[in-house]
Amino acid sequence: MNLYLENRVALVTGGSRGIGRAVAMRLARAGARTAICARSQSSLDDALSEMRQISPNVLGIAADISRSSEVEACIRQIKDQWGGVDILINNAGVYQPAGLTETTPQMWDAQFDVNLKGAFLMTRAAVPDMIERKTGTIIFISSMVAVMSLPDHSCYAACKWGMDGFAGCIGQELVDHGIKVHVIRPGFTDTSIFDSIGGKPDFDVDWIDPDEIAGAVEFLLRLPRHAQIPELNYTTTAHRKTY
Amino acid sequence: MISGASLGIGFATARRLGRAGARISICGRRENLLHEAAEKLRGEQIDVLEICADVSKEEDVDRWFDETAKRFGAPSVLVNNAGIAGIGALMELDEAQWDKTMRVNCRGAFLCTRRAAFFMKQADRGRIIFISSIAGQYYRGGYSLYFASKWALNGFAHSAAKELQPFNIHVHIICPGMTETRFFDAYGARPHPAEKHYVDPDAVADMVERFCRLPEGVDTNEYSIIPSWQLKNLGLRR
Ligand SMILES: NC(=O)c1ccc[n+]([C@@H]2O[C@H](COP(=O)([O-])OP(=O)(O)OC[C@H]3O[C@@H](n4cnc5c(N)ncnc54)[C@H](OP(=O)(O)O)[C@@H]3O)[C@@H](O)[C@H]2O)c1
Ligand SMILES: NC(=O)c1ccc[n+]([C@@H]2O[C@H](COP(=O)([O-])OP(=O)(O)OC[C@H]3O[C@@H](n4cnc5c(N)ncnc54)[C@H](OP(=O)(O)O)[C@@H]3O)[C@@H](O)[C@H]2O)c1
Repeated sequence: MNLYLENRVALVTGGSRGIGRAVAMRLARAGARTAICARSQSSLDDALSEMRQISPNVLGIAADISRSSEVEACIRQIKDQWGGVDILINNAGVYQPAGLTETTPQMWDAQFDVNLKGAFLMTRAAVPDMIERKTGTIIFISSMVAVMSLPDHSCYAACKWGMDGFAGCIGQELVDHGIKVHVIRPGFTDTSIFDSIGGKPDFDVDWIDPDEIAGAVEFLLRLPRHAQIPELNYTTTAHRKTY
Repeated sequence: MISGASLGIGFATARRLGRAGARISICGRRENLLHEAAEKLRGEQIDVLEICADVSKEEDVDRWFDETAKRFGAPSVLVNNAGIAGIGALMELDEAQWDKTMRVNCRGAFLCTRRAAFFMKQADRGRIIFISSIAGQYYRGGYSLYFASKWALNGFAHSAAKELQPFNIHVHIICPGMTETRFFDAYGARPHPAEKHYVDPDAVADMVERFCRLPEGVDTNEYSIIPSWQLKNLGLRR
């Protein structure tokens, strides 16, 4: 088992489904003590039962990352059980594409609160323990949308561009504390995120399996301490034409 | 229509476009500053409407647009300028500060752009100019909130540009570097030593005017205007 992951304390936000769940499975398999959070208890239970088949050191916490009280309680619970978080995967996100004039202020707030503010709240809550121990890794699951612009994605793209800006700034801010910050930008990945638009769109692309993104996460986590890959685009060949 | 035009870049832009003959509608939160600005413009024979409005509030934005349409008809140019800072190391930022900056800098621009797009789609023409910042083009430790807000603004603006192009609505993004305004009053001090040169807000307004004068069928999208010493910050990423 790799020295970088065994017994490390990891938290994957939105770890009950899709990319987050695949990441949590990989981390559990690698021997990390792995916590996941999400809003729905039933999908948390479902993910946990799968993770328990691999490792006893797993934890599921019902928390909405857009609420600071729930974020703080989540970090506290992990700390009480295992100690401070070593690895934070800011993954939880929601997707509500819509034309600009069809985007309501409520839709705007809902996406900003989870996709951007949620990552801020989680990062802020997890970082003090990392600073104290002079070690830690934070990975942001951004999107290829952060390096593109698309019609009908103005709010979602704004969140992901914002996430990249936030991640880049704190990467500089935390480097002297021994904390590494990475951004991964997946392309079209086959997950339940498209349930919000009635299912996966009928694009002529090779869909990425969530476990491939999880593989990219594991790759970054296993880098030697001195090595840094700040940004990793993991996309389909179809995207080459558009960005 | 120019948001946040009682001071700084917004005021300079209102004056430029007004001198060029445009009818001007401005907004801002502090009534006294806004009226002072409007009076100055009137002193130059500029036809100006000032509406006290906070761009982060939907009802205020609606009122600004409704009153403007009543007085001048549908807007042909919107300048999304209103913005505030939000500075501090990650651990010093609190949730209220996060919300405030994101609400003004991102949500405010969204609300105004959305209202303008309704009018402009109908007219099948229009121009929307974002006063973003080079804070949306590179990274700086200690500034994660303000930078995230401007990165998000740029993502929004670039996507809106593609979406609105078929309706003949042009979107331009201006990213100023350090500019000589009262923007830094909130911190008590400017982030760079006093002897450093800052961009004159009128130079930013000049860019806005140039973009408004672009010939039919021509576009620009993202433009930086910075004091030369800030060149080192550009091109650090992408
Ligand atoms: N799928 C793609 O093509 C794609 C491409 C690029 C980037 N991404 C990004 O990848 C990340 C994961 O997406 P996915 O495709 O795996 O989506 P997914 O299958 O819909 O999973 C999203 C996960 O996030 C959780 N979540 C949502 N809102 C939350 C909140 N407020 N608090 C806590 N947990 C929350 C969900 O659980 P609950 O609903 O129960 O809370 C779920 O576990 C997102 O950030 C997404 O933007 C996806
Ligand atoms: N100065 C720089 O170095 C610099 C550099 C790059 C980008 N920028 C950007 O340029 C824009 C203008 O800044 P500035 O330097 O001219 O700043 P400024 O001198 O502080 O002026 C800001 C103006 O916006 C108004 N405003 C602020 N919040 C508002 C709100 N919620 N609703 C409506 N109006 C609001 C202010 O009036 P009230 O406070 O009374 O509302 C004021 O009229 C901002 O978006 C800023 O981020 C500035």
